[in-house]
Amino acid sequence: MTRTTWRASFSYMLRHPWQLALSLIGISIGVAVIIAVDLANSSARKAFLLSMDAVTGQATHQVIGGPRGVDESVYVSLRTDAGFEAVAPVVEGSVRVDDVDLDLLGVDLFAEQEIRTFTQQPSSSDSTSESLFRDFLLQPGSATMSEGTAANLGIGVGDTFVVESVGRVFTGRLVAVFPDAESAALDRLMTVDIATAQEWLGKAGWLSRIDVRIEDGDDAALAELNAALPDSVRVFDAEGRSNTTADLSAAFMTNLTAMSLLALLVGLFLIYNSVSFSVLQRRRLIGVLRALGITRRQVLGLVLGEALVLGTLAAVLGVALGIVLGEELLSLVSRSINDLYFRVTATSVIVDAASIIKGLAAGIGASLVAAAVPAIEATGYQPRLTMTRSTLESGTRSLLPFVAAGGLAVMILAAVVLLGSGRSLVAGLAAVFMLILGFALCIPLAVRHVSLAVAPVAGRIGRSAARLAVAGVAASLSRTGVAIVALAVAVSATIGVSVMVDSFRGSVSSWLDQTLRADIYTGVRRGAFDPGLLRDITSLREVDAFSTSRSATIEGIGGDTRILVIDMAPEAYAGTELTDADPAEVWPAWESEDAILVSEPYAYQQRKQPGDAVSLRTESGDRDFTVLATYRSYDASGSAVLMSRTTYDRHYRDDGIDSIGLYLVDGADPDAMIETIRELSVGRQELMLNSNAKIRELSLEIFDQTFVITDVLYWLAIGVALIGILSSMLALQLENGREQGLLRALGMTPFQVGGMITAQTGFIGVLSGLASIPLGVVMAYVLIEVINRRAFGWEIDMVVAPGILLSAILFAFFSALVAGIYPAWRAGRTQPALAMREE
Amino acid sequence: MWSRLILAALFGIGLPGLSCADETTASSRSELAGLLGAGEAGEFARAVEPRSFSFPADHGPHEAFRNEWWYFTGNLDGEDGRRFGFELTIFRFSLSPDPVTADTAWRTNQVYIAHFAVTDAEGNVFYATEKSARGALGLAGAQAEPFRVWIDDWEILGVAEDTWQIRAGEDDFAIELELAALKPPVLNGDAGLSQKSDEPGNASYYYSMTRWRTDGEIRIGNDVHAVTGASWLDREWSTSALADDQQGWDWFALQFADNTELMFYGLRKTDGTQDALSSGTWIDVDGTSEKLSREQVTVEVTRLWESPKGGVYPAGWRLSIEDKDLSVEVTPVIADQELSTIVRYWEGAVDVSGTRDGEPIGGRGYVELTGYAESEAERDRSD
Repeated sequence: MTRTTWRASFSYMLRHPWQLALSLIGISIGVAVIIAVDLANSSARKAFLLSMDAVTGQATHQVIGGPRGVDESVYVSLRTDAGFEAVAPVVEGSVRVDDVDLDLLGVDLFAEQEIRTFTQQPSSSDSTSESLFRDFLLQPGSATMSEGTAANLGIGVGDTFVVESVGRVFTGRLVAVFPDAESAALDRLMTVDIATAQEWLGKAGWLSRIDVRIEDGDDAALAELNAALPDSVRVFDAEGRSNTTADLSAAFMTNLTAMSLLALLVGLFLIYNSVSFSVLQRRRLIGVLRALGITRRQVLGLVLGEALVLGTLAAVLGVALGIVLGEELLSLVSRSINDLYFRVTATSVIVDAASIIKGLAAGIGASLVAAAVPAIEATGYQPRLTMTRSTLESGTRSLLPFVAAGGLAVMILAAVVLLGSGRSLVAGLAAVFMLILGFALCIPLAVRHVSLAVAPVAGRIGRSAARLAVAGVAASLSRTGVAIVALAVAVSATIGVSVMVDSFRGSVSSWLDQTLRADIYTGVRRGAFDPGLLRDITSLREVDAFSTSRSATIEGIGGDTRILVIDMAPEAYAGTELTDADPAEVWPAWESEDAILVSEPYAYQQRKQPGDAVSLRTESGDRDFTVLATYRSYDASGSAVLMSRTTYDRHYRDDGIDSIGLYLVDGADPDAMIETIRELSVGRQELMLNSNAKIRELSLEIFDQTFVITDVLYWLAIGVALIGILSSMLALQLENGREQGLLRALGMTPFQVGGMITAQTGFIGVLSGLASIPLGVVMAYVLIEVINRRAFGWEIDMVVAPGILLSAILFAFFSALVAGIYPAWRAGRTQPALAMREE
Repeated sequence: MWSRLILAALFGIGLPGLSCADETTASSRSELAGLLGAGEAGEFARAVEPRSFSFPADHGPHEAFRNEWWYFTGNLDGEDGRRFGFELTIFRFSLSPDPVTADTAWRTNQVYIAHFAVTDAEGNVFYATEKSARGALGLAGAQAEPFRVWIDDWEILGVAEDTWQIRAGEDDFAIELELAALKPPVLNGDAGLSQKSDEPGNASYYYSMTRWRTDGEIRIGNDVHAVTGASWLDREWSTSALADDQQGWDWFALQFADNTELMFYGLRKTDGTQDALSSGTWIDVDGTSEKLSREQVTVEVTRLWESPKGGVYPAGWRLSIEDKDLSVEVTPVIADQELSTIVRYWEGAVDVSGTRDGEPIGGRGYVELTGYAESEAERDRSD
């Protein structure tokens, strides 16, 4: 490549700064979204693993028990009978201090040195306290936390503070702080003596787990450990356990990544648009260069080189933007993960090289791919031949049927992938992208036919200006087609996601209607009812009947099983919809036998159907429970099994009840009852108390929250598409400047020329909107039937609300109009003489 | 035994690595003594006057007192003549005199610490380790009937009235011994009241069982040795014992071949002189005992040993009691029997040889030396 050619391309860029800027912005946003999502995902995961790591310490294994944990006598026996030394008991849970959720870690300092170091090494302490050890043992409520956490809570060493736990209030006292770990892994963690932890969490007699350190490869010790333990507990590999938990969110994160790729896909059209435009603009220059002896290869290199520079610049900008955006996304991602999977306290993104390389590669790669087509096209320019616009467009035209045929083929391939990929989420998402791509390739041909058909009609309505505007779309398809595709893809994505979310919400809502049968729901945040209070509530004379529930978790090697333990009031049975069995047969068996119901997500993920057995660890070791039926559930944590209280009580030593549903006698006022219950609970336990209507509202609120992140990503994709339209229209306007000059010379007013441009962009908007509908509906179908199912196992009834489709068209129309304002204004200012002098 | 007191004091401040930065600049010792003698101590029971001892009840814990220990030492021979020594001590501490009530079993004011050491004379190796636990849930504790004192799986267990078992170990070394008491408990000091400094109440209740026939096994690494020999039990409980001007403690527990025993502790003052309250007990063949005053026992240091960790210890003695016509040389079995536990001290097996009534006499025993080296914990504190 010679310096001349580079200088030529450089000066070209400088003469078209808006084009340069828009391309940069488009690619940057695409890259930024990818990086932001990747960083948010990986930071949430890393934050979780790091804090698990810090809390796990040197432990290689963990002894895990049943729903209430591990009986503390198991620990005593490990030490005194089996003689294990590198074992430490842990009682953990979550408490609130000043409305901030803190992880509570209850430890026995005597056992800590073998497992964790941070718990024993405070960097400073209250000078009046003789020692951490004494305080922990003698003063209930003594606590330590990291310096940063204490500072954020505004608590100093020696201060007391209010701790809310399991609906009760306790007094904590900060006796020491330890230095912040660089990774912030100990953020929002409070360490207390195990006795305090048991008291606060209401877990007297129970441990959350026993941490064990076994030297690498010491199978004998592991076997000895297993032999020393009762059947009700099991040994887990500590690292594996963290990873299994972290992996719970994998499907969720894959979906987010897919959405971020959508933003880049839309950006891809934009790059294609601007690169091919820059090539077209310089067809004469390229012709001259070729005549000067520059080879085809060099022309290819020139165009790709430009794309590379542009792509790199944009990608670097995108990375910077992505890191900023990632901070914003992280809180959304963390919130969704908290709602759906596990507690994670990620406060800032952890920027890693892998994410950045991914983003750079995506940006640069996308630029090169998008530039490849116009670059190859440019090599076809003959030396000295001054290509006219018309020859170019006729070339494009003749290609259209082939492009559309290719698109059709890609869509068929997408269908094949969908049908043939079983349960793979990644394959499902790949098929969605193929579908979009295939459909996009068909759009230009359709646009041409529609425009040509509409042009005469437009001419009759709006005279020659309108006719010109509409026909112009078809005539400059190499410009307009791409703009339409970009907007259509973005809008169809909003249709797909809106229909999916809307259908999902509809299903959840009707499920709530059916499931929520009691008049009042009350429960304890993260814990069990005080038995006395529970008795007092249920024996109120306004209470006709009540259901109780307990959420228990059994950890297994392959992940956790959530057991919903229900003691149903007579009215409650009808609230559980069985999808594949006869309720009359199922319920009696469910009450009396070793049997369970499985939620739809559980059935899908674990591949269980009626008649199968599910093995669960019980007090007396692993036992098989027969699956009687699948029940419909959109519970946020999805995968669960439903067990009757009698069955549960037969197999587990846990009489806890988390929440109850109260059925009131006729005529009782729910609101008055809520007040009565609240008064009963004062000073005993803080209860969450909600009427039927309120809990319904809250459930839908949580549902909506979960999809906030989805909305954010789609608006970003739309943003990229809008920039695409703006860029296309500006390009067209520049190119058609002579034409517009001619029109002005022929007597058109600036207003009329501007109006013509506006009409054209409006028409582009409508075409995009129309094109987006079939694609959007198909996408919704695939999202509901394939992606949601593969990712979460939910069954959703698809409902296409006409309002969504209409608003999509309107949205496309108006956004195109908005994008056309500036080009129209510019076109109106065209100086006829100047524009025509180009010849 | 001084080590036992210092340990108690240290525990009041915090275990190594746990100890908080403290602003105190006074010498660690006076501070330790202060901690022992002041504050809440008033609410603990004190050893003020002689009491009547009753067994087996007094083998069990006395939780009204701040500190207590069960202190076993012994000299053992393998079948092949290989010479061993062992020390297993379990300390009990009350962190507060207030009774504890809670729903959770973990809440307690009782803390147990154990020191375990084995001397392998032939290998010239000294093994030592320690562990601690709260006296709750059965993790650690002490009880009179059936008699048992334990931390984790280390325990001293009564299987019959005069037959006890000792079990302790870790990866490198372990013991499993059965002991038969050959003599009844002897009360040291004034009928069991052992005055440690002038102030009333700065005393302990102190008895010893000076000769136990001992059989069992010692494991060093993977080698198990069947052993037989004689052990010694010291039992002591108190709330405060020391005075500011006391520097350390030399304690002798000697078992002579003629079936008599001698216990003697020399309290050293900071000015280098021996405290007048130093005293001992002579136990006859039939188990009858006799209190020995400081003036009756002469101890001369014949050799010194410098610890690689710092501090110079006596490492050989000439001990004589004119009344008994006894003069013996006391020699450590190996030089380095220093424990680097929470407090650093020397506690080791010794050989005894000399004459009594003009006849040659041999014997074995244990010697404890404290106040010769600062532990890291102490050093950190006095910095």
